[in-house]
Amino acid sequence: MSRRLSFNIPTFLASFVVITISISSAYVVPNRPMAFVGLAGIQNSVQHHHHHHSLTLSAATGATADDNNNSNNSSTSGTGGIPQLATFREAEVLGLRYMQEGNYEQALKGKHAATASQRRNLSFFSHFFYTFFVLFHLKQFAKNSFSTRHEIARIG
Amino acid sequence: MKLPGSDRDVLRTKSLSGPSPVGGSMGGFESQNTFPLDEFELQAAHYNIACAQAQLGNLDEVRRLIFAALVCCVR
Repeated sequence: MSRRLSFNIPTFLASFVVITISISSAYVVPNRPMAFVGLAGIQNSVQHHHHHHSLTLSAATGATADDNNNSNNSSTSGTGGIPQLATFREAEVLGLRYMQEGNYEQALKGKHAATASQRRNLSFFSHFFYTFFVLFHLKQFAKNSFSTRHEIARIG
Repeated sequence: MKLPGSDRDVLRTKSLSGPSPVGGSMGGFESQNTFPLDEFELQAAHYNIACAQAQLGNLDEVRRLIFAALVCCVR
């Protein structure tokens, strides 16, 4: 009775894919304890966010720095009387207000900053190349596996 | 466009190098809540900037921004 090498290629391929994905940085373990953001953390972040929003809402809705100098509800930066903005929505409203007044240079101030879309595109491309990396290794492994199988068949 | 937007994300950074002290293949992570811009905010921002640049007569910049606004919603 000859002993044959039992080599289950689909099982090995599946385990290779699972292990490769699980050890990669692109995969986020769903219930990992240290990555878990609890309800308290979410509430704190939301309150923090709304706190900033309420602080500068009057600045974004058209009140100038001179109107609010006596109160603590608005703060301005040192140059030009531009209010400190906490959210994108406030900056958008302020920019649109400047555009309504015909002050287009002021509305375009700070437009050359690094955008979130550029960061997202970078993340997208990293996932894109990682997919090709995994497919390339799968192809190489399948190629090696089939050649070994043919050699066994030829020898035995 | 550095200001926080309506979207919510969790940024995870590796806090420990090497293997995990409690077992596993990697060390600990730190989670930080971030508020990036969502697709509609990015699209609106590029469109509004394109409108202002059109008023100033910078047509090349307008073409680039309109294309960027289109790409924001396609992706």
